[in-house]
Amino acid sequence: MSEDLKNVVVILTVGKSDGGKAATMAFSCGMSAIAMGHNAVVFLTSDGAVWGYQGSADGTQVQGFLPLRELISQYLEQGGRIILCSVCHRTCSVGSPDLPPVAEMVPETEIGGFATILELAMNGMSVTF
Amino acid sequence: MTHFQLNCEGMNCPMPIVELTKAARSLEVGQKIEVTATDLAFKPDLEAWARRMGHTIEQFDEADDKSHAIICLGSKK
Repeated sequence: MSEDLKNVVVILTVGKSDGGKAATMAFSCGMSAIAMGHNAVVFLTSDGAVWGYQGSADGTQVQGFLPLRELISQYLEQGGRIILCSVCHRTCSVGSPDLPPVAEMVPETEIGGFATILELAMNGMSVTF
Repeated sequence: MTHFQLNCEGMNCPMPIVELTKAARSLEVGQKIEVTATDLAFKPDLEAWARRMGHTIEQFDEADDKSHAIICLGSKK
C-alpha cells in the first residue's frame, strides 16, 4: 500500500452479541476504503477482539452481505490490515491474563496498542462500529 | 553516560508509553532511556510514540517475551 494514501482506521468493539452485524459492517467499510484508494486498518478491541481468531467468523452471515469469513478473507487479499488489541489478546479473549494466549489468530493479523492506532488515525480518519 | 532505567514489565498498553512519557518529561534532550517491557504491542507502540514525539530508538531487541530498548530523547517531549 502506498505510504502517501490516507488511513481509514475502522474500530470494531462488538463481538458476536449482534450476530456479526457490526463486524460485517466494519469489514465492509474497510473494503470500501480500499476501493476508494485508502489504506484500511480494522482495529479489533474490547468484545470485537473475538474476530481476530481462526474460526470465529465461521457460519456468520448477515442478510445481503457476503459470509463474514469470506468478507475478511477478501479484505485481507485486497491489502487491508487487521490489528488486534494487545491487552484484549492477552486478557479478554483467550482466558486468564496469567496464561499465554491459546487461540490461533487469523493469518496476517498484527498485534497493536493505542499508540499504534492513534498514529494511524492522526494520518487519516477513524470510523467506529 | 548512565541511561535512565525504566522497568515496564508486567504493564499492559497504554502504561508503558505513559511511563515513558513521564520519564521523558523529566529528562533533557539527548539523554537516553533504557526500558524493558512485556506488553505484546510494545514494539509498534514504541515506534509510533517515538516517531510522533521526535525520539530515536537506538536499540531494540526481544528475547523470552521481553522487549528491551534504548531511546535517545529528541526535542518534542
